[in-house]
Amino acid sequence: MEINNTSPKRGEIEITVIGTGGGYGESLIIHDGTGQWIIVDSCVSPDGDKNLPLEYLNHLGVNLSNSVKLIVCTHWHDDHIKGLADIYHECSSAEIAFSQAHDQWKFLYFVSLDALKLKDQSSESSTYEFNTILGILITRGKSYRRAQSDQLLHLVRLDGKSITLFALSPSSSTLDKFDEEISQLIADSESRESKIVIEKPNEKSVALLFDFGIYNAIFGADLEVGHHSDSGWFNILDNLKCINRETKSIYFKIPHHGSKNGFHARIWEELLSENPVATLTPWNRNNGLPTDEMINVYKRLSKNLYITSTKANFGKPKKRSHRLEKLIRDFDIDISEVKYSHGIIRYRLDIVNKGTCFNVEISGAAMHLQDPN
Amino acid sequence: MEPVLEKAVSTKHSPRKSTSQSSIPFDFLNKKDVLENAIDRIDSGEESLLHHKDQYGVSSYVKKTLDLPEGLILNISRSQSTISDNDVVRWKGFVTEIKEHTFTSKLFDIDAKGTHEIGELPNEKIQRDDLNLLKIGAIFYLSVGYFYNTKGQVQKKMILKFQRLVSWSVEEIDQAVDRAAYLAENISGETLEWK
Repeated sequence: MEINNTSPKRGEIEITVIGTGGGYGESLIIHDGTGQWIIVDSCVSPDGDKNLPLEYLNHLGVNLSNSVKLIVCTHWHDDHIKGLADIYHECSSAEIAFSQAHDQWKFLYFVSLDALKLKDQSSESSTYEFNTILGILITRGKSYRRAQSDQLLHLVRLDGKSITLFALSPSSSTLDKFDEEISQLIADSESRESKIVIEKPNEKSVALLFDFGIYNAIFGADLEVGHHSDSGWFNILDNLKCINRETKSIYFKIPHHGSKNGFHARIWEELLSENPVATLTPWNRNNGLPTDEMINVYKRLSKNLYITSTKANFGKPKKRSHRLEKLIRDFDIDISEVKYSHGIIRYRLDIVNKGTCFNVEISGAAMHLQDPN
Repeated sequence: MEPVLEKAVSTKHSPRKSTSQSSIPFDFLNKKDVLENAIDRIDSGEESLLHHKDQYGVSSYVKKTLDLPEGLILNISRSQSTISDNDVVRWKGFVTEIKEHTFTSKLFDIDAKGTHEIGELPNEKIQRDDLNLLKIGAIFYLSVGYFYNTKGQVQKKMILKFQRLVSWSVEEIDQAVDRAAYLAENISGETLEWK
């Protein structure tokens, strides 16, 4: 791993984003300034051999079983949850936080029904991860932390000051709708030939507010703006109590891979400071995210814009023998490999000694996106 | 590595209908080559009869649905010879988007770990019996390669099969209900209080 392996000191905040080109996943790693770590989401290399957040923390020499205190699952998409069960297994003293439907029994029935598909290998990896996590919870006799808007997920003190992590979403009304959606998913589960396709987990995505005293940071997960004041970013802007409107965020993990649906000018005007450190992670669906148009929008909003890698590189199938490649074409099968790359953006700020002087390091495929104007 | 395709053959729960069928020795079922030949021919729509030549060289034809004892389910591991290891590619895929004439899918090479591929296939390549299985999330197996046919000739072949599974049994539903009840009793969500 190219990035420097020096651990952050006491009083030093770290926010590290690991992202993969090709949409193979992303993860966020936070050091709270007191020696404790938080992992938000997970990702693994496509060959399944490397759990990227664990690899990074091992690189720093972090004691996983003692120092990682919280794991947050923002939502059920494969690009956020793959490998999360391994993380929870390794980080044995960590709490785990996720959002769930209000009707817990119905939610658990759906998860259990989909777990039966594992023997047919037709389950989503998200439910595999989730089932494994539930098994570990039972083995350890622990509860999980409910993640929903205005809920406190992590609290430590540094020199008498509170450092907190709050969930900004999902809203209560979104979780009501999740109940209805679970009923439909259960009905769909009767067709065991198919993977369950969870249509709108982005509404249930857990955006986070990391408040480290004089400053704070917002992590947008895949939360979209939405259409109503009681859900998505509108709920955060209009209704949340945990946000101190006087303190603007100096760091923003841009939501939903920088899509148009995750953007609203009010977020930038009301919640963020001027030129915040803003980070993007790409995704591979359709023409890929973020689009060039949105990259230009974000470049105008911040001089400190970073992306973990360029968008996925489509075009050619995997390398195979010439005659086999020709045969695939002869059968009118249009195939493109989704290329993998990964990059790390590490932000550090010494909140005890240096105040506003932050440091951003990038490695791998990550890059600084600058507006030439 | 030689690719192995699996096919399940099940018989109807109906009484045996013909006297000729009852004379077929059970050992017939273990003759993989005969079965492979038959399954190939039925798959390709060439014929709906199985041609069997017994140890005395006497030929007999039996209908596909009458060839096995009632209620028997066979899982036949069918090896289809290819010319070399590099001459076949096998994917497991699931459907991500359905358009008017094509469908898009995420494809995982069964024989090679690593990155996945995005594939767009013409709907016309789907077998008629599988068309009703085409939906978002549907799982299928796709093989493309050079195979020897039953006459020993090299044949270019694409095999696209959608996964078919029986519906949940009452026992399986009960199992899920029991597990949900167990999880609900033993796992609870909590909120962290400000201290």
